[in-house]
Amino acid sequence: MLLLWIVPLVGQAQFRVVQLPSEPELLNHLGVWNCILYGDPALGDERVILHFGPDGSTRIARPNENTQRPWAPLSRWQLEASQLKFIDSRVQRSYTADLVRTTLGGGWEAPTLLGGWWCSEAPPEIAFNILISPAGEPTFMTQPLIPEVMATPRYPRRAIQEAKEGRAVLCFQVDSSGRVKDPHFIELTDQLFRGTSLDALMLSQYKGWSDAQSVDNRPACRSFVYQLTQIY
Amino acid sequence: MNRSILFGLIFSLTSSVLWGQVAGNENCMSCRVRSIIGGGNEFLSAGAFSIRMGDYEEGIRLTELGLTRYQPSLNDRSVAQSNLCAAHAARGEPVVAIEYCTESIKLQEKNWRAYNNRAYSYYLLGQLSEAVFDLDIATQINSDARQVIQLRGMINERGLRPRVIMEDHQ
Repeated sequence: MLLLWIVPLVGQAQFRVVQLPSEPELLNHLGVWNCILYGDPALGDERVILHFGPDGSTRIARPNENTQRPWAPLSRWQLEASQLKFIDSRVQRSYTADLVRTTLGGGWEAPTLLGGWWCSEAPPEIAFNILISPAGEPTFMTQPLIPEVMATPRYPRRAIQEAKEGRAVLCFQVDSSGRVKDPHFIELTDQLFRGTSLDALMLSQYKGWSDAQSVDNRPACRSFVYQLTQIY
Repeated sequence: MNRSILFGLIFSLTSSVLWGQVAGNENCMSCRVRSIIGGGNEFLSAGAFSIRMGDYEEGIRLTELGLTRYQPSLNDRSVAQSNLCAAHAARGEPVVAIEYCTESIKLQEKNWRAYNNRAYSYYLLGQLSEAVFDLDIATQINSDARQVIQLRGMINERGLRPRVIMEDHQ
């Protein structure tokens, strides 16, 4: 009897070895963020600054627009579980972000369009100084990231065999030395494309803009479109 | 002699996409487990076994004997022709193989293995459109067959050119 009682306990103990992930910590979204918005065929990629206030306010600034009054109001931000939501009613876009991620970003939806957005935390003084300054171009945000190495992913063999096409969008941070850090999938049509997309991205390198180990990471995203052409 | 015979031929070539088959009752369990059950036509059974073992010449000889020394049913003739097709394809004689497969299909138009074997023969010849055409028919008859799926993968690998387009958003 004792043996019968012990055996199930041993089984349970073995199961307990498997460690469950702890409750995810939510990202604090309050503050100023240096962001890119992609996916709008008319506007192309946009670089903007977003500000989330503790009073629930959301503001957006586009560096190339009015530098005297840079901030335009958006809807108040809302939190639903781990989802941050706000709306830009001018362009009828609903933005969402999962705050479980290590940085701010997610997707946006308009009546006929879909896209994504990704941000790096911006020191407030940098954002304000750049936007308020009336003289010259705001260098911090207009300087493009220059790819030095762009690795092309291999097309997964199984995907070819199964005639699968697909798309992956990865967003990430680029540090001041040009290295890619902290990639996240924003879109992934098939798990077959996960590994190759990630491998190619991590082999890529951008031109650095500072030797100092500064914290001014910059956001970027890369899409991979996997296509097959019949050749017979 | 219309007695139904059961003989199986599932032979793994290097690619293992070619199919011999068990003749007689299409729904029999032995067909599904691909075992060889000696039926009335011992030559066909022995031929199928030889081909499965990779002895294609002997398999062809025995199968041809089975076709001439017995009077197999229409269905068994179709199976035998399909097996000959598979053996010739395995020997690298796709043109000869296609003739046997075509004969097999004429006798039994629902013989998905014959379509699959002929698709493989076309694949060997580099005639991928024809291969896909036959494979589509085989798929319509039996979409779950492992050999059909495997051959589809081989054709896709040869006939589809992959391309990855990258775009940076920043």
